[in-house]
Amino acid sequence: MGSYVIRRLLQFVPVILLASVAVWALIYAVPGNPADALVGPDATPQAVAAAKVRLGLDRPVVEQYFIWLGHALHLDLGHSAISGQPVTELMASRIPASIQLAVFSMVIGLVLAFPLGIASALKPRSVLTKAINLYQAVALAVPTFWVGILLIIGLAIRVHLFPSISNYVPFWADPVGAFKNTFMPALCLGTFISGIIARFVTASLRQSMSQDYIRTARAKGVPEYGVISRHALRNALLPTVTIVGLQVGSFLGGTVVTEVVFSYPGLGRMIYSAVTSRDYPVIQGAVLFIVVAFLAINLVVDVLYAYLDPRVQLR
Amino acid sequence: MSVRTEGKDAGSGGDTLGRDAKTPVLQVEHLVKHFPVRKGVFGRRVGEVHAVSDVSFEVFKGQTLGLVGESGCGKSTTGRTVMRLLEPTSGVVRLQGQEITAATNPRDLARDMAFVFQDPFASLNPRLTAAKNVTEPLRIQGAGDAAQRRARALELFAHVGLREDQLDRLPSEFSGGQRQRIGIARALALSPKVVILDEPVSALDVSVQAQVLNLLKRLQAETDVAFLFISHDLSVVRHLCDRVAVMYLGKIVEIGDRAQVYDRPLHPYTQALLSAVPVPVPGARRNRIVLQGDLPSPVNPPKGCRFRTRCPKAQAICAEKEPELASRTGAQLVACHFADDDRSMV
Amino acid sequence: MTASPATSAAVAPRVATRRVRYSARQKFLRSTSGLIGTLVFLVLVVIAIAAPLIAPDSPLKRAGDALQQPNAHHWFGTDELGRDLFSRVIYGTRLSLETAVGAAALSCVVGLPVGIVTGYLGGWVDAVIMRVTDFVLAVPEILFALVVVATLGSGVFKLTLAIGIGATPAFIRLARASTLSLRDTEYVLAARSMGAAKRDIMFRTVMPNILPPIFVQIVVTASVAILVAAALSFVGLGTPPPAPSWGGMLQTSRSYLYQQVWYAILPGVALAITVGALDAIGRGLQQALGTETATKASGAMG
Repeated sequence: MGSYVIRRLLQFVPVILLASVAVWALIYAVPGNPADALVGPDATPQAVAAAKVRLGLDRPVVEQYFIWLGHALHLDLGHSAISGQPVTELMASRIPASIQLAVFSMVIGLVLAFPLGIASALKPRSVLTKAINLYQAVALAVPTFWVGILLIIGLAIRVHLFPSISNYVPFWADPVGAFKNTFMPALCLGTFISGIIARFVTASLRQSMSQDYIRTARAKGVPEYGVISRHALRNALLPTVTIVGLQVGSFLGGTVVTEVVFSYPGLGRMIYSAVTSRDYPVIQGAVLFIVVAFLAINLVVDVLYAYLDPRVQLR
Repeated sequence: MSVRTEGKDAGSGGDTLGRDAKTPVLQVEHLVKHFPVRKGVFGRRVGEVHAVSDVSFEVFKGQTLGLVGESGCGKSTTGRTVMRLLEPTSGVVRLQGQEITAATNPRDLARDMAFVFQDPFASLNPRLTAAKNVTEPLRIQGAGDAAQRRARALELFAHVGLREDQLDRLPSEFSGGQRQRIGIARALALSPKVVILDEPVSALDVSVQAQVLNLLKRLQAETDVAFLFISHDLSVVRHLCDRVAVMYLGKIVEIGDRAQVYDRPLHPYTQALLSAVPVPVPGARRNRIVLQGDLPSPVNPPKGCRFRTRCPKAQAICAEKEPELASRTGAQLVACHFADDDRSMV
Repeated sequence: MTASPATSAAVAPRVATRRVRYSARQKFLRSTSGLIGTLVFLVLVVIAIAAPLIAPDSPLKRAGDALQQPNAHHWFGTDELGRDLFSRVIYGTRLSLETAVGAAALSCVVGLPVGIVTGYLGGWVDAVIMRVTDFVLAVPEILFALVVVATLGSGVFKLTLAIGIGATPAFIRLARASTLSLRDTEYVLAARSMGAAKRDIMFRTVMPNILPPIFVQIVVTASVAILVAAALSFVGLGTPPPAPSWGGMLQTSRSYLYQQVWYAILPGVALAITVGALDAIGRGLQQALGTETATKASGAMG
């Protein structure tokens, strides 16, 4: 187990270093002077000169990277070229909103996915299963931002059930307000991932239903409900954990457009604003954070999986 | 007997069995193949699998050498190393007197030596028709145009007993035996001097096995090709081979003419193997020698004689001194300190 | 495989049908989703090619009063500049399919050979390329495209390039994994025993045998590309106006939700049908070929 974790960690480090190089080099891919890109379009020549010295832009390129990396390791990702706020602070203010949206979406996704996935695994040839298949196909084909528009038309404009602009209301401060504001974007994202997860639940449940231990359990006279809940589902859950983990990872930064539709103040919309206003320090910081977070979640999921299913370590 | 004694010059060991006029077409000398065992986070090399340890033999024109042994004894690794599918750790392989080295162009090697694999379902390219599979060696050599290759495919098909209308079928449309015929046809496409056959019939039904073995016999008679026939099946080897080499844990323990080895085995391991072969005569009895213990790990083979841990005749000397593969009673070579004693077992 | 109930196979005893081995093509044609997807997609291709013949008006010029509801003249109504929305949606098909084909072709043409070579040869180059793909796969597809566009600037070509680059690692991973699984098969060893050169083995022996999962990946990539392109155009960073991109139309429509609600609905329907058709083809192929794809399922989430 220990050596497995170490091996995974050793894969993790070079990827993050690579990401840091790519993110840092972004500034040099932008047309024009890197100092201008980092300080912003409205900066005075003095400010640009000062930034050059502060960021070491007058030094050799390799040295510049290590200066930047040194700052990044101390959680100093520079300042926003627009607001002047430290990038780390800016991100920290958005992360709770992103997490709340991710949790809401995942709850909706799982609540939709499990009954559908189980139903279609148990009755593979029924009309219900065909309907579920159609639902999954539609859930994956329909763009989330368009669902967002439809929801706004239906539930905010026609019927004034939800606000058409979703603010971040912390759940523990005001559960009702949080629900009202987060429900529609979470429904968009939740339906989408329910399509992915349901398909996965169906596949792994069907596979575990065909195993010998299921036949044994049936032969022993375990009632069908017990066969499914205690034997088949438990084994089918394991691979599902992985896909759920990966989806959580993709919620960081993968929700840009949905957040824009609902004007939801998460990380996604911060990145969107940064891209439209060419706020490169913020783009750099956000991408780096997302890569690190995604890989960390992956690592945790893999290690968890290996812990639950020791066969994985041998691969 | 033309098998030379260990360590001496290849040409000097011949005595008379009517073969000394022929030079061996394939000579393998002191072939060694080790695989590294890696462990831990950094893939540290913690040991070596001694898959093939100092193996020497010769294969003569128009004849078949059978290489037999249990699974895991290194016989397949030997075959693949001779074919250069694996790089040998050390040792020399000579084809028609020419040494094969790492610098040898595989394409030149393929003109004189071909390989037939065990699994007829896996050894043919599933995307190519039977005709294309069979003439791949020609294409790789850049020999002939499409029409000439097709003509050759037809010729080879006739050789191995397949029909013209089967030329354009895909491998998946053939039975196992037919596929192995395709594999054999492919191996013969360039009229090589030597064909290495790695368990070519073990994946086939018994009735089909006989057909394929008879086909191999006929082809050898027609083309004078030499076979290195690798198998775990003693009865199959007896049916086809002129000479037999018995391998145990990476080493040849006994080698000699078929009649000698089968009728008068000298090595206790050969004796044990033969005693396990079912007797076709009803009522006939034989003392079956059952080997004790498991096959030792090739990562850490026993010191001295490798067979001693399971040998019924093992003495103190067997742990101290490794027996050389040498002639005890003329023709046959055997690696055992007590090969001369008590041959009454079979 | 979804058996169509009307065929004789469904009537015949199941034991008999089980023993028949269908070719991948037969299986694909017998899967409802694959068949419907293919038909719909072909119709879309025809629409894209014949757009000038089908569209009643120019997609860029004023054709009447602004923000008309759907009517006999303007089936989908008109937009805020009085352009015929039906014509714009028709031309939008062309734009979408161009991006899809471009991005899928780019990622496949780059990813397939790179994956085969690294998978077959291994070594440190393989290790480096694997870490690069790890990095790109850690960035959600939409974000990757967003950042590339932010760096290089927008436009149809740059958009296609951005999506294509983002989709390449999936091809590399898939081709590499498939190559690794073939590397020690007997027919690859057989090719080596015949003295085939490495390049010959990689591209004549290995490549044709790993194509089935690659086909699925091409279809998946095309579908993701359409969604990502629409999403980027929707946030104003993809295809710049006045080009009739579906995402761009949906973006503008948000300002007129009260006046012309169909403006916000119909381009989305076109988008969903196109993506749905490609997904259906992908599923049909997957069933027929029995392959799994290493796709990034989250990519199209937006």
